[in-house]
Amino acid sequence: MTVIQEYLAPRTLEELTRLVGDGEAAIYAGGTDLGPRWNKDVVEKPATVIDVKAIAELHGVRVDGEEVVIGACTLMSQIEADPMLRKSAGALAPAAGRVACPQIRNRATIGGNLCNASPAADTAVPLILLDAEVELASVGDDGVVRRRVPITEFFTGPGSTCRKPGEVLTCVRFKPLPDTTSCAWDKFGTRPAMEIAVASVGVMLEQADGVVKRARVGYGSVAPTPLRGHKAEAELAGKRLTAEVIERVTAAARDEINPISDVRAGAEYRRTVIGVMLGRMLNDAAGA
Amino acid sequence: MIRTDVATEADAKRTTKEPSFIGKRVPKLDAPDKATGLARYLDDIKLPRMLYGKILFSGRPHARIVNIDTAAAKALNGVRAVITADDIELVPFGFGSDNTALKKGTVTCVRDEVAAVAADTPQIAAEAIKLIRVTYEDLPVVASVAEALADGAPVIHEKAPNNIPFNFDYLHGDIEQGIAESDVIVEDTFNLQRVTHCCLGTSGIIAEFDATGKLTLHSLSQVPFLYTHDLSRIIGIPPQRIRVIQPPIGGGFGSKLDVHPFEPICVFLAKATQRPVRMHFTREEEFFATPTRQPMIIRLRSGAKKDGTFTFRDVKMTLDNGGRTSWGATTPWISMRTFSSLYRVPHVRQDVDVVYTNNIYACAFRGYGNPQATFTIEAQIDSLAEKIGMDPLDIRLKNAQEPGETTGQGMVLRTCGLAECLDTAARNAGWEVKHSGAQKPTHGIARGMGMASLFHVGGGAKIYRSDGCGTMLKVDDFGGVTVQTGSSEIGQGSETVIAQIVAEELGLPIANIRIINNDTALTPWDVGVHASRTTFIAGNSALRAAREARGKLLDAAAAMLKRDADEIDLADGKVVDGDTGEPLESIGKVIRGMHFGGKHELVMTTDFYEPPSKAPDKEQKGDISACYAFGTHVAEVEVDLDTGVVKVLGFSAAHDVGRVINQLGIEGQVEGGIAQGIGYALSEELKVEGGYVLNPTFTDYKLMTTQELPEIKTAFIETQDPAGPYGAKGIAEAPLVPVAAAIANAVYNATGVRITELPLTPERVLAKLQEARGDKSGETYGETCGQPHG
Repeated sequence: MTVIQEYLAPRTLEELTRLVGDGEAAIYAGGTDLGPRWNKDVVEKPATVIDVKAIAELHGVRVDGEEVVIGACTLMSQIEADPMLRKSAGALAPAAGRVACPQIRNRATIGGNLCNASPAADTAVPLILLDAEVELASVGDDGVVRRRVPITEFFTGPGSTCRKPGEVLTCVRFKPLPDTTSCAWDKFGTRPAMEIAVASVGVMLEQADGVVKRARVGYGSVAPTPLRGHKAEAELAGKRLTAEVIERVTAAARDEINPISDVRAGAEYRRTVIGVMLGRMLNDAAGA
Repeated sequence: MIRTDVATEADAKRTTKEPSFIGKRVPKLDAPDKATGLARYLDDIKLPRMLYGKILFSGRPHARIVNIDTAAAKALNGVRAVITADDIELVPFGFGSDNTALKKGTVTCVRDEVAAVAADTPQIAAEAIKLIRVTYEDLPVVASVAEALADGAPVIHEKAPNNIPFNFDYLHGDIEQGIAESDVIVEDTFNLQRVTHCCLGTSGIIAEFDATGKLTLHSLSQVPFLYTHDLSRIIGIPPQRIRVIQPPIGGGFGSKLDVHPFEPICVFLAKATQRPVRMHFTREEEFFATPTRQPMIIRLRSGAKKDGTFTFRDVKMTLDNGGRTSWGATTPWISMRTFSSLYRVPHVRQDVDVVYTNNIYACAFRGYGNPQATFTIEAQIDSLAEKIGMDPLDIRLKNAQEPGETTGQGMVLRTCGLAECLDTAARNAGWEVKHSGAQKPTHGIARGMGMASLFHVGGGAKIYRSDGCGTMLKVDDFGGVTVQTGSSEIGQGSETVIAQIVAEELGLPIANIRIINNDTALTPWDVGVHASRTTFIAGNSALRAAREARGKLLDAAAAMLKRDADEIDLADGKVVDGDTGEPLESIGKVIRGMHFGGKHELVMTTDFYEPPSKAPDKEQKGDISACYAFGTHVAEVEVDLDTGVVKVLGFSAAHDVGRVINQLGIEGQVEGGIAQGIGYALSEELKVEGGYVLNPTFTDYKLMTTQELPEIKTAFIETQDPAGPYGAKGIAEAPLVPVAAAIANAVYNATGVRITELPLTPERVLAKLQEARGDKSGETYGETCGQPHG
């Protein structure tokens, strides 16, 4: 019988890293993914649940030197509304505002969204556009040991990450985007609310005199993990956003993704809408 | 008809007066409890010693049961009973008598019930289910109607060797003559998907026996009296020893018209354990183990003359019945009424094959075959109009019936507001500008507008030998009124309507009226909540019981006040002067005068109302309902030509409702129907492949949310039906019926592409758009799209 035996709520990161131990316990933040999975028997309930919400360090948005830091327990609704993130985190705040519905956004955390490692995680692609890193902490001989992993290396497959047993995700870090950049992100579903992305795409552009100096492209729900669009970026670099360039970029995008057909949509359709959404974003950027 | 013996001249005088409650915006009586969480739903009810039941479903579309080993489940601590078909008497039930509570021999769909347990907790019950070992021998699966009808197809039930258990054929006029009279003819094959009710409250029941073997059920049935009778046969307990109490029902939409296997199973568990047993479905069980709307393949041919006059409709329908048969298999009885009588058509033929497959089976769902039929008819009306160069509104007006007509199927339209519905809905939507003046698409977005109408029963439907409803009414010493009505409240607002009617007649505040409608031990017989009948039938019965009580009160007041009964009236809790409205005495005082004074009388009345409708003859013709409902919907849509996304921008609905009883309730009913219809049109589909349900969750079964709903303009055409309570007709199912048809017609108007399958998902729409413009890349939209009507 699956019954949770032990509920722990550490107050500090150090306590948490000690409790996590071999990684058998479930780390519980908003519970918006874990709760339904447990209830539907998709995953067995663990003997031990560690609720991380009482750890102050894991909450909120702050500046650390040149970087913006978002604590793992920061809520989607907080990210959506945060003035600094709205200004300098590109598509992250708007994407957080498209997660599920207001009730879920008031519980769901960015750490949970990432550790759950769905290819459809709404915050993943905006973080790829930011070249963000995640910080992982574990217990060492002299207290907490931290390491950083680029967001593109964090995801290793559907539902899996490079997080080792005993590690916890503490925060997301990135350098704020300068004013010279622009970002766009969109997800596609069969309805606007309560939608798991059938496909999502984002683009960050830094342009000077109509020429793309730097570009980042990312995709969601079209590969086993959220994906950076290297080929699309290569087609953008150093170019003006002409109709021909946009055509080549969207062709590259359709080519470099690897979608599947499932109950939500067919692979070919996913390719189509990735191309359409990206094309429209680039057309908007060209017109701006 | 309103009984004339209780109607007086004063009643006639009153009808010219502004009513106190009829037509007003009255909040539903159950709304405060439901909104604040006080309502006690099934899973709030916990009886002493109650156990929890759970069912083991086959999980296989077609297989022979070789062996069931329940030993490990029985051995689990906390398990009180484990039953299989061997433990009960197997009584066939359902419309095709092809179902039993638990299955023996062969399972014919994944939801077939194979075993059940009762345990101390829901968790133990779930654990025990996992411990039951069933050995199956898989049989070839019939996954579609095409497979079922193929040569050498496996036979699913022996009594239908061709896998076609039923036909529902119909004819009026002469199809060959209709064809000969036609200047234009169109033919299409339509494919309508499987959708499910998505009731907020999932299915469930509590069964408890008393020490003498009497059975009480806390049941969510929407037809408690028929249900008692049907269930009685299955469980071998006489109906008079069964009491059905209904807790608040979290939605019905037709899903609760049948006895479902889980209900007798729960009774058998209660009997085996001699303890109360509650069974309550998870959402996943609700998706795969309760019946759905029928998927249908409809081949329709219809014609018109050059002047737009409709000539004929010839329809061949093939229904995916699934592996068992519920009442819902009879939906062609209703679809034939739509084919025969939605607009004037002289020649109509319906030919239906109901086909067994190994898919989950279908049942009744709001509209009962009507949305499917309407979708096909209304699509072809637009095609016919285009061929002869007529505006879609004009061709519909040309063929709209007038009051007094009898349809080809023998239904007498004593009142008919169809033409007014067409005009009103079109005008409110801005039809002239937005349909005919469709803009060229800009930035890959095309806009369009489409319309569709509906025909449905509005005064019950005489499907059973009685289509009646009983009422018992008493007025207490201080003017409190208790109304016991046979009709059930399933969220549609019927108890509020009944309270309004009684309050109006008795001149008492609505707060004084208490409705008892959920206990067969207390309430008089009613056929049930179906066929959009409750306001009309139960409303008429309540009205007649209240009028009789009113007569008694007026007579007593007249004697007390030494006035003529015709000169006085009841209003605001008082006896008043009929002309001036001057208060003369409190109603409470009159009642107490009757009770404690001279005659020692209590005010108690009863009524049983049987509508003046007729059972159909053996050709299915006849005046089946006391009146008929009409309506027209107009949808405005935006189609993304690059992605296929259809967005509904606006909706205009006009319904002939006879008369509005509760303005607030009827607006909600229409808006709710449109919301449900938009889901049917755009996103909802329960996907079944190889007999397995692929999307049994709200994550992947896409219901519309409030975010997707457009502004809805509602208009009510009050045709004052002489048979209806205050002139009202039923509205219930109607608002869902034409929604998908109107949206598909709007998509056609926007894109010039006719899609004959539902739902109009982006992927399907894009594929059709690409097919039409002959490209496969999906990244450009050509000049061929848009502005089909100049």
